[in-house]
Amino acid sequence: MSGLVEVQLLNGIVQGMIYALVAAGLTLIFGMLDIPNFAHGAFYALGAYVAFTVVSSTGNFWLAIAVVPLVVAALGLLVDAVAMRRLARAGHVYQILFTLGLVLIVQEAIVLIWGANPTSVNVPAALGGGVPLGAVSFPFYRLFLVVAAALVIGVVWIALERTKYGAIIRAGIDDPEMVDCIGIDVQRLFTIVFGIGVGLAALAGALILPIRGGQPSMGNELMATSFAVVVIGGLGSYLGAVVGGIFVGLTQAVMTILYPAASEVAIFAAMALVILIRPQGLFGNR
Amino acid sequence: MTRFAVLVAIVALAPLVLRYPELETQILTFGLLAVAFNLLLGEMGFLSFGQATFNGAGAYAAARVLIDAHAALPLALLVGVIAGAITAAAIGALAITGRGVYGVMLTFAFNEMAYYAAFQWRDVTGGDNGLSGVPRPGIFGVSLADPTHYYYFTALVVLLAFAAVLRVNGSPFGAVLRAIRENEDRARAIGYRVRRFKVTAFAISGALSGLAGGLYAGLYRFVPLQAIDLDTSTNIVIAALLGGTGSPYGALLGAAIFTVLSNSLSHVWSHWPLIFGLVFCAVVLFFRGGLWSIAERWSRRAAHA
Amino acid sequence: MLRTRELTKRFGAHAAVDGVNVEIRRGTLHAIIGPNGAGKTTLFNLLSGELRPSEGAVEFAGRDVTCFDATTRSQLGIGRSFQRTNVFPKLTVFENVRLAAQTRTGESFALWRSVTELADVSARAERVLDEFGLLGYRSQLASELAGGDQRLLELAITLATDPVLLLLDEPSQGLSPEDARRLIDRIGTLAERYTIVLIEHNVPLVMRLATEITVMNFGRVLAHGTPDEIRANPAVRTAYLGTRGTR
Ligand SMILES: Nc1ncnc2c1ncn2[C@@H]1O[C@H](COP(=O)(O)OP(=O)(O)OP(=O)(O)O)[C@@H](O)[C@H]1O
Ligand SMILES: [Mg+2]
Repeated sequence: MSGLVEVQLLNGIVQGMIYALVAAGLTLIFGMLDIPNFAHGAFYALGAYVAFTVVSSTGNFWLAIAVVPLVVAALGLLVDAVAMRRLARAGHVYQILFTLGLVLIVQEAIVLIWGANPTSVNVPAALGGGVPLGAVSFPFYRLFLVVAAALVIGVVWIALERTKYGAIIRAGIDDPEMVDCIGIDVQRLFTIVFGIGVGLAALAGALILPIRGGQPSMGNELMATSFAVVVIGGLGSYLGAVVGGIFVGLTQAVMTILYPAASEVAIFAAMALVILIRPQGLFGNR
Repeated sequence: MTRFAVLVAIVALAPLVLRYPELETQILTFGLLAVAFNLLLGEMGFLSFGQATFNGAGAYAAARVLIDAHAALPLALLVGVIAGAITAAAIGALAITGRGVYGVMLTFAFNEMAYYAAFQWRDVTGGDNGLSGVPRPGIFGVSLADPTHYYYFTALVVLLAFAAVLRVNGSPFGAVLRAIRENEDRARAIGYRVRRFKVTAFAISGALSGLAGGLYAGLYRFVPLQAIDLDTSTNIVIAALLGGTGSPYGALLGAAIFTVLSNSLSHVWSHWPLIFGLVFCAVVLFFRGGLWSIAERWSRRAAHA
Repeated sequence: MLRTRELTKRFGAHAAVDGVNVEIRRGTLHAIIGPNGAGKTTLFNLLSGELRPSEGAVEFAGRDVTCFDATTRSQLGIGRSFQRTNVFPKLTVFENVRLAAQTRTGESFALWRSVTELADVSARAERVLDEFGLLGYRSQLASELAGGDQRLLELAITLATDPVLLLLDEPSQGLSPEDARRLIDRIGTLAERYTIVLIEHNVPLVMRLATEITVMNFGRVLAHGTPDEIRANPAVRTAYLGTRGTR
């Protein structure tokens, strides 16, 4: 064994953590808040490009990771306030369509601001090099990515499941009027959840930048895969999104070893299977 | 009826006024895609992001029988229709298991799956090189090699399909689709098997999209991978919305404007999608009926004056 | 005509309907009364197939229909109206009722006919609209109707499906007192042609019309009998009639 297989599997986990971050955000916004945000992938792409700007102007990747989720989340909240709430009464279809228009705008704005060619940044110096693994080595930065993503996912999960605010948020989703009655501003809580959801996507974009670079269409490609992830995991289930993300990342990696031609199709075939056998998803309870 | 007559007149005269028969043929095939989409959204209330899947299925199937079996054009189109209908019925049956947004996501995801399948299945689709060398046989001894001839052939087929859509919308079946759009639960409660109606609507929409795909393959004698990709699905959604989902005429109008603009604006300013996105967002926020409803309001006002 | 056996529906640990046995005899107007949250609507949902029971069975016209869905039960002749108006908002009043009438034709998959060619369907829709005094509003959108007229439309849709058994869930809710009285009177005349189960809070009106009454509380049947028996029942008086006035 030369370590190549291990590297592939580790890469699958790296990619899986990115899916998990994005899908966790998607499930917060889609599943919990019931806001159909088809521009989630665009926020992911923006995350990568804003990170690119921060890194190339300050040279500080850590700053980028800290700032990017906040900046992009602020943008997301603006969209929510200006359009999504106003469109809530018109129905889901129009919310989806608005975010579709947003995707066009963001994608073209990226081309306009950063150019159509792929961009990239170097791995931060502190995380250069790699861990030897047989004949090859596995980059430190990727291990860092896995750990960082796991930490963030864990913190958000604890905030949702184990804190007073999380309990209020979950109660507010089940019965907004009731929570309103006890004098808590539900709308503000929802805004925070929306911000966290967008922030997770943006963070994923920033984290992937040193590995994959940025392309204007990166968000679109991710969108379909994250849909598959949340369908497999169960729409609205945070745990499902995380497990589904890692599962999909690993499936891709395994298929790349076994039968590369079908590595993409396999994900969606898995999704179709889940719909047929367990429509509520692996961790869904509806 | 008068509206349909006006449409026929416009379609018949268009090549005499604007001498771009290929562009005009493309307007018709894309228009048929938008009309097929609108059957699902405008009548049944289902937002499908999978229309390019059905278009691609029809295009590849028709192209294959043209290339491999030297089939006659009507037969090839029929194969395209069947391929589109079957694909759409299968995807529709899966997509409607969930409610609301869930189904929209599924059509989106399955479109991506279809894209990757076409991308990898090179022997059949040509992969990202596209499927070239599609013959365009004449029919009944009339050659269709001339772009204007092919335009008129396409026009005939598309107008017939459009008339069929009007007919379906006005049928008892179309009435049930609107009931499902308005209140699915009540439709079920008064005795309609909603699932059957939905799958049938998908099959019809897929048949029309497959027909459009077949005509498109004949138009460029080529099927690009783009025929089945998500951007095409998205463009169909945008075009139909722009025109207005209240009427199949609106979808057709939107498709015509979209095709002309995307062909011309891309030469003027390469970043035109930015403006397009802004306009589209504005339509969603402020003119939900699309252009057609604005036109209807004007004509009503003119009638009153 | 319709009978339930130990019908039970639990939401989590809470039994909204709890071991209910009722029998609806052909030709009766059977009223169901009971305080808010007693489980009346849930019982209807079990009868019409909107919900599956946790336990027990529903029998209709001598058949076990427990496993049939709402569509099938509707096709068998169980028609129901909803407590919350449940119409097709952006269709005209006429289309609303015509759609209901169309369910009984077998023409709903006819792609090639015009819906206007189904003359008997249109005629039936017009007859029902006329019966409810809605014919004048036929071209208005359902959502543009006044609240009271929407309640009438709700009933008209149910009737247009040509049911043999009518389940009416508080049809007078939201009507002014005199409109409510008129509606209940109309239901009284409907009772000459249909078997009716009526949920209604206006107890004096119910007492006047119903042939049989079932009183529910906490998901259970508290009492059952003729209006006179119910009036005389001490348990009902304390649990329901005594504590609540008419609404
Ligand atoms: N889908 C549901 N999930 C959970 N609980 C439910 C559901 N539907 C009804 N319930 C509960 O079941 C109980 C009975 O409700 P139901 O609507 O049947 O009462 P009702 O007798 O029709 O009352 P009302 O007179 O207010 O219409 C209530 O406590 C209600 O909260
Ligand atoms: Mg009730």
